[in-house]
Amino acid sequence: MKILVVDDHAYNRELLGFMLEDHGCVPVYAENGMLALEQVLSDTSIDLVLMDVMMPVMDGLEATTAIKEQCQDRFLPVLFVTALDDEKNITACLNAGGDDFVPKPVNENILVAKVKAHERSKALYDQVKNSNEELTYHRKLMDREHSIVEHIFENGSKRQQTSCDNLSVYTSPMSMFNGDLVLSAPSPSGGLYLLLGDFTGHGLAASIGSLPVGEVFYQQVQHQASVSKIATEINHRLKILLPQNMFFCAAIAELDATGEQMTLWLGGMNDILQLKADGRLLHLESRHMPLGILSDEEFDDSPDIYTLEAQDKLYIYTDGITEAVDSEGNEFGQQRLEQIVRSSEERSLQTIVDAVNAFSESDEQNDDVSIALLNAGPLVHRDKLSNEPVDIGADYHTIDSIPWSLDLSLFDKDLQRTNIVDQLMSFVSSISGMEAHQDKIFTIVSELYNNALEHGILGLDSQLKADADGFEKYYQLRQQRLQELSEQRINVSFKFVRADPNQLHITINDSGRGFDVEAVCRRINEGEQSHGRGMLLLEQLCSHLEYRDGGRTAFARYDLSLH
Amino acid sequence: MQLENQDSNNVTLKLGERFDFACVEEFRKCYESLEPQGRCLLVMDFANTKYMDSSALGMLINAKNHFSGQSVKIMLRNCNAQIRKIFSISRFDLKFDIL
Repeated sequence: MKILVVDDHAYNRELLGFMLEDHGCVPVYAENGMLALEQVLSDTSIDLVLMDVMMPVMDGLEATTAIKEQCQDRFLPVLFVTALDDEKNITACLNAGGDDFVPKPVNENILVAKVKAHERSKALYDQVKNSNEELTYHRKLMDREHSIVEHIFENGSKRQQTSCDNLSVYTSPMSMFNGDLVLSAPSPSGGLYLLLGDFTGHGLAASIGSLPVGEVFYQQVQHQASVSKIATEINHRLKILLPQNMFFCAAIAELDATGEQMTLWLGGMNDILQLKADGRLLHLESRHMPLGILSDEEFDDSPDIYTLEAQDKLYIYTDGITEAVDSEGNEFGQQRLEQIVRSSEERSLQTIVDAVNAFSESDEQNDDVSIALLNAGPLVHRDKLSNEPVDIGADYHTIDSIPWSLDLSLFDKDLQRTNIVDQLMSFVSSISGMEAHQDKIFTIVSELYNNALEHGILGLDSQLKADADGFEKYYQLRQQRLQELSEQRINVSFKFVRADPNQLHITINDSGRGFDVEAVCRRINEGEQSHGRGMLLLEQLCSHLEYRDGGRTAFARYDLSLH
Repeated sequence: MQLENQDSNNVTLKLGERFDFACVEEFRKCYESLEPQGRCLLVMDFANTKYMDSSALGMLINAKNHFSGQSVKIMLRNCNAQIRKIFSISRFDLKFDIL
């Protein structure tokens, strides 16, 4: 331990020096306050100062004040060595910043005991200081890691060039690093997709799973995937990636362009609150386990479909809201939330967030709050840059494509498969520009295909379907004749044609004996019968429909415009 | 396809992922197994149904005809956008309660 002895009398300096050396300390000396200050500043290895009070040039009090002021970041105790023990002097020494006293005449045992005591304090101080430095280092490291993850997410969400007026979202700055995730995107048909979820666990580890979820979400929504499909894909990916004790509670919703129908998959989440215009509050309950737990076979992707009214408001939130705690450990709870949702005038998210923050008295940096408000009614999408409303659907409908065509020939083996139309459609819907139309094209192709197969190739007469028994008989015959099929084929051709609007031409041609199309069409309007409706569907969906070659070739034109 | 009886006058029939010709027999068995006494509500739940074709329309008409003369109300619930479109084109909204 290096100790600076400050005294104007050489005898006193030497005496103290001897005592300190005897106990393994290293003494250095100064003759007055001014020299002591200079030495302390130039030599940072000095651990402690023994200070006389009365000295020429600069006295001990003045020197101590200066040392304490200029060495704030060092642990440097100053011990006054003094015979003055009246109250006034002691107060003056303490006010100057002195830490302790050694009475004069100096007793060696007392001196050494005091020095050792301050040595122990210093060891403690050093330990705390090191820990602090280490903490600061790790904190900086974490900040940097956060900013990397944040960067990745920002770039992910930048891909979305529009925002939706019907959706407002609040996420606290730190919530993402506690595993919260909120994603939204317009659907090709002008609707809106929303995913709000919460990974189990805390810290950066919990947010890692957000990356694959984001990837799957953005990829699926581009193709107008169903909510079930998105849930299935995310579950599949997370089941592979996540450790067993980690999973993802989530709400996945799709609101159609009218804002009146919502398809929802809800797993492991709090009830979604649906506030009606008349003040009634409904609960949309979670029906599923969180994502990332069940295998593909066990996973239940069935969604709930809700019909909404234009004034309805839906509140979707993670448990950061209900589980926020006050200083006494009480939870904010479901009841408080519902009370605010019911009573607040503006019904904005900020009201709820403010209430939660006021309750938990948190400085917003530490809280963990994600909440979304979805307003039902016609959706308005806005360009993020110009802030002008955009017609998302129109972008997809007018999308220009390279003229393409696709020809498929199906033989006996193919015709016997039940999911053949699905396979045809998986080709077609992977082509850009088809996203918003795949549902309708699916219906057209499946009706045309069934006509070709059932009437053309299998020679089934739809008049058979006149009553329930005949209806069943018809499909039994279909199955039976399909098994006996020999050397038949159906050709399906798709052709994209540039026009205004762009068109898709679908031609289906079969090797069968043809059928009486006129007869089928004539029967359509003959009351409540159970057949002939396929033709009606086709006429509504196609801008042109025509049967040639005695029913062996069907040609349908579909306009790729807004329907 | 699954029948859920809340009570004998309130029945829900949950349909599968595909509602097409492949389930003609099963669907018929389901609704013919019901023996409604007096007023009865039959709900066809489409929540799980992704695909439907025109043969399914025929099956629904058959079901409706089966109960004609009895006070059975058939409701179609939880239809996705595509299925709704098919119902509206076929003017099923005039004959069934679509929720």
